[in-house]
Amino acid sequence: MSVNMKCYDTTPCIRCFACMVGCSVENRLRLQRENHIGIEKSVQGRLTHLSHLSPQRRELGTFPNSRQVTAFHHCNHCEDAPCLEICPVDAIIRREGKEVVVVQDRCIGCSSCLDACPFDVPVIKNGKAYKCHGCYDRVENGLKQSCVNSCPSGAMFSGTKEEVLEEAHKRAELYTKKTGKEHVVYGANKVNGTVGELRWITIVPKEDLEAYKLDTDPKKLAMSAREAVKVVGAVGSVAIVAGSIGHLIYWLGKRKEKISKGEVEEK
Amino acid sequence: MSKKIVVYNNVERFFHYHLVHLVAFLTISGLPILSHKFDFIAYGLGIPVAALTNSQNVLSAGMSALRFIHYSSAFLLTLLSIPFVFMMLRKIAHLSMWPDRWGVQATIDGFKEMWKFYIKQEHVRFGKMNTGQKLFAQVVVITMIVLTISGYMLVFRESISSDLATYARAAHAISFIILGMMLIIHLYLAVHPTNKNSYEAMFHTGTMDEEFIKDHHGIYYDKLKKENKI
Ligand code: HEM
Ligand code: SF4
Ligand code: SF4
Repeated sequence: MSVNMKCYDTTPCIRCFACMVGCSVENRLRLQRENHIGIEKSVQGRLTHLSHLSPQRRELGTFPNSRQVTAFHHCNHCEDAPCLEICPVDAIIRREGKEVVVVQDRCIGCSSCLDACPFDVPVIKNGKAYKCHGCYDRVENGLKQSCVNSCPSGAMFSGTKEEVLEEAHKRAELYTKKTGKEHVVYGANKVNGTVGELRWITIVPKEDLEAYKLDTDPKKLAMSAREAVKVVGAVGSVAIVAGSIGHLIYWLGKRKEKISKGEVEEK
Repeated sequence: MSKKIVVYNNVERFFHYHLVHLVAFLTISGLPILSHKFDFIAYGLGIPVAALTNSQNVLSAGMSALRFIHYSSAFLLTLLSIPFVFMMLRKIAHLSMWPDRWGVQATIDGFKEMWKFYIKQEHVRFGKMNTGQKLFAQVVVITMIVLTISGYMLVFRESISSDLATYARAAHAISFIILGMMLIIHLYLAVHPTNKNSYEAMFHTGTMDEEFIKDHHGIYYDKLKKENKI
């Protein structure tokens, strides 16, 4: 199976949030399917940890010269997923379509993935991490992701990487031509060294990248420092051990020499 | 026979003795969280733990057990530190980790003396600790304070912002790595033949011969004389 990609297009989106409802429904159904809870219970409560797509609506400018922007906060299924790399128990895996998925049965709730994710995506609930799983099981069985399935306006679409990239670039080009505003496909190319390319991309006017909270250099300084010091620590520790062994050999040799010269006495 | 001088009192020795295994536990249980290179520790512990708890995931079982060890060792270490920290605070102005002489030149001289002693094997008059030991003690104090504060921030991470928790996480890992490198040197020198007397004093007797102190820790000897302690 080739890389599966999801794309959110800000232009045709009518802000109906059917995608978010679809995500919540899907994950509640999963609870029933996996016999974690019964049907009544699964529809009660907000279960925010199971809503993997959360809208962050903001108003930009001041009325009447204002407009509303809804940034989507979700897992981007990063190519170089830092969450997957840091997880100490390998509870985060990559499925066939390269969806980055938390295996709750293995998760020990250590919050490492939360620290590592530069988009602050995973949430911990009852000692387990939760985030978007890209509906990998639906995809592997020929269905679309629940969010994509729910979208009435074609603003969410998915497919193989090649298909989706082609369509996304075609749309961005069209919007640029029609509106005169440059549109870009965020995440289509390597974003930075921390996350690589993204498997959930977004078509957006270039000037609105920030308004949509699409970080062009996602990283956490503290965690980068931790990675750098780990390398220093590894090299340093090896050097120190080698230095100590070297010193001991040198020291014993020198001592023998001094003893034979009678400068020190043997104890 | 020469007179015995108490160089480490019972509280110091008791604290150091238990510090050794608690820091060993904290290190062994922290390393597999820090890096996948140490997964073998979690697997090793995970095999019996998974068998006992009927768990399918050896790595998760081992890591959970290691986390339990980390948390409990940290708690024991905190308890153990309370009397020790109070004792040290009471004599804070007279701790042997402070330099015998302050200043850049004095520090450079200190390193020259260490060179003479550890490399050229010449006779040197040290204080109770030499410059390297003093620096080591200072680094240990600082990193242990950072480890403790950031460690408790991580334990109670639900009550702080996630940004703050991430900073604590990085501070915890970085101070551990600095401490770890220092500990390798400390371990090596502790078991080195030149250090036999201190080793015996720390782990067994608490005392050193007056003659030995006079000979090897001249500055310390002068200080003890001045304070009428000998
Ligand atoms: C004294 C109080 C301490 C507390 C409360 C504490 C607590 C913690 C916590 C909560 C974590 C996060 C991982 C997890 O939840 O499983 C952690 C990680 C760690 N701890 Fe500690 N710890 C303490 C002291 C120490 C000491 C003294 C050392 C080493 C000598 C140490 C070494 C480590 C290491 C290496 C990690 C992994 C860090 C990383 O991967 O970023 N800790 N500790
Ligand atoms: S967005 Fe965060 S949680 Fe999702 S794959 Fe990337 S690092 Fe992991
Ligand atoms: S919280 Fe779970 S998924 Fe996240 S890093 Fe820890 S064990 Fe892995």
